Amino acid sequence: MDRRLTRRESLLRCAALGALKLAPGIGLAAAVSSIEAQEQSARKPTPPNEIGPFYKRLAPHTAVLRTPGDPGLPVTVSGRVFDTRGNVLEGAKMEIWQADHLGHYDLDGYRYRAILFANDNGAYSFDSVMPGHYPDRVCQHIHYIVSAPGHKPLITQLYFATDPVFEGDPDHNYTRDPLIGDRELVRPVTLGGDPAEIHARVYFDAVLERL
Amino acid sequence: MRRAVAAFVLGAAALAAQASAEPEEFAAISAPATPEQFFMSRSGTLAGAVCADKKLRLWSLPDGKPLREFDLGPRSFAALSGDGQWVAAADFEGDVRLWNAGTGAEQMHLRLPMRPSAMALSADGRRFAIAPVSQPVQVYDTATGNKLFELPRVVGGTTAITFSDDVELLATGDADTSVRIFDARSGAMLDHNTDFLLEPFAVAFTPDRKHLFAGGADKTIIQIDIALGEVVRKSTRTADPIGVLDVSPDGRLVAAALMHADGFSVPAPVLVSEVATGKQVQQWLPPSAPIGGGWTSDGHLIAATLARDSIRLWRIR
Repeated sequence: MDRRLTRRESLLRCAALGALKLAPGIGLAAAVSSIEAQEQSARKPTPPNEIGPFYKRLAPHTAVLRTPGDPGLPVTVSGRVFDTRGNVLEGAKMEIWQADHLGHYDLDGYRYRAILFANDNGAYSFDSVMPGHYPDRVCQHIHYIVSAPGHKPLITQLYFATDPVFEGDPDHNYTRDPLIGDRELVRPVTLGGDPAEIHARVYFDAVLERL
Repeated sequence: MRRAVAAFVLGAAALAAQASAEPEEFAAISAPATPEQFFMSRSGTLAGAVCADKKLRLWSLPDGKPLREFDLGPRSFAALSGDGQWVAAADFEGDVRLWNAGTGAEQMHLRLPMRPSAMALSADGRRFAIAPVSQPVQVYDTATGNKLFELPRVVGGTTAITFSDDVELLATGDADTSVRIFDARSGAMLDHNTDFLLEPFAVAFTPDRKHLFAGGADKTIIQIDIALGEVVRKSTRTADPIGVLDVSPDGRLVAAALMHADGFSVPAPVLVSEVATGKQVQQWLPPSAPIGGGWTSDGHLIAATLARDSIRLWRIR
C-alpha cells in the first residue's frame, strides 16, 4: 500500500530528482527546514461575512467606543492582523461598528463606530460594550472592514460564543443565525475583573489574502 | 427582511399636489401560506408574493384569482418586470430562476457563488440585473439568457439596483455608501455620487431619466441631476431610513417607504413628495409594515400589508 510522503520527504525527493535546486551556499536540510517553517506559519484567511446595512464612512479614529457609564457589559476586543503567510500587517486599517447594548445602531452619529490601525506588531484593541440583539438579526455581532495595501479588503463580523442564541453550544448552534456561515467567526469570551464590575475579553485575529 | 422591504416596488401616478383622501383598502388576496414579499405589474392586473411555504404565487388583480405558483429555495425574494412578462426569484443559496409569468416556462437558471443582495428586472423585461453579496452586479439579456457584462467590483457589494424606464441607464446603491449610474448597454460608469455617509437602500429614476432619486440609512433623499452629475435637492431628514423609492409615471411625484429603526416588521410611514419642489404632499402610516406594492400605470399608488395569511391592498393615492 502506498504511503503518502511527508512534506519533508517530498521536498527532499524534489531535490534528489532536480525539481528543487539550491543556490550556492544554501544547505539542503536548512532550506527544507526553512520552507517547512514558513508553510507552518501560513494562516487561513478569515472567513468573510456580509457588510450589513449600517456601515458609516468617516468614523472617528479611536480605540475607546465605550464611554463611562454606558450600560451594557464592557468588552475589550483585541487581536492581530496577518497575511496568509503569517506576516503581521502593520498599519492595517480596521473600520469597526456595532449596535449598542440594546441592539440599536447609531445612524445619526458615530456611537460604537471607530477606525483603528494595527500597530507595529499587527495588534489592535478596542473597548466597547457587548452589542445587543439587533431586530431582524439573530446573533450579537461586531462588523469589521480590514484593509491593507496589496491585500483584499476583508469584510467580516465577529460573533460571541456566549450569545444566548447558541445556548452554550456554538459548535452545534451557530447555524441558528444563517448569516454566520463559518464557526470560526464565533469567538470565546473570557470574563474577568472585579466581581462588581465584570469585564469581557474577546480575541479575534484577522487574516487577509494578498491581491 | 430588508430585501422584502427593498422589493417594495412603487410605480408612477399622474396626480400632483392635490389634497388626497385617506388611503382605502380596495382588495384582499387570500394566500395558503403567509406572504412575505409582495410585488405587482405596472398595469396593476398581475400580483405576486413570496410565501412562507417556499412558493411564489401569482394572482390576477383586482379579483385575487390564483394564476400560477413556482417552487422556491430557502429565504427567497423575487422581482416582477414592469410589463408582467417575467418573474425572477433568488434564494439564500444563490439559486436564481427567471420564469415567463404567463406560461410558467423557465427562461434562465443561475447558480451564484453567494446569495444575492439585490436584483432588478427592467420595465420592459429585456434586462435582468443581479448582485451576489459582495460581488459585482451581473447584467443579463432575458431573451437569450446571456450575461452581457459585469459592473465594477465594489467593496461590500450592492444593495439596490434599478433600470431607467427606457433601459438606457442603470443605477446602483452600494454598500460603500455610493450611488453609481451606468450606461445600461455597455456597463460604463457615468456618475459616482458619494453624498451619503451610510448605505443607500433605494434608487429610482424619473421616467425621463433626467434625475435619479436615492435614499437609505442616512434618512435623507437626494435628487441627482444626471446631466450635471450633481445633487440638486436633498430632503430634510426623515424619522427612519428610506427603504424604497419610486417616481410616478408622469414624473411629478416620488414615493418613499421608510424602514422602522426598531425592525423592518414595525410599520413606518410611506411619504409622497413633489419631484419639482420636494414638498411632501402625503404621509401614510400603514397598519402593519408594507410587504410590497407599486404605482399602477393608471396613476394609483398601491401598498400591500399583511393580515394573517391574506394580503390587504391599499390605494394610497
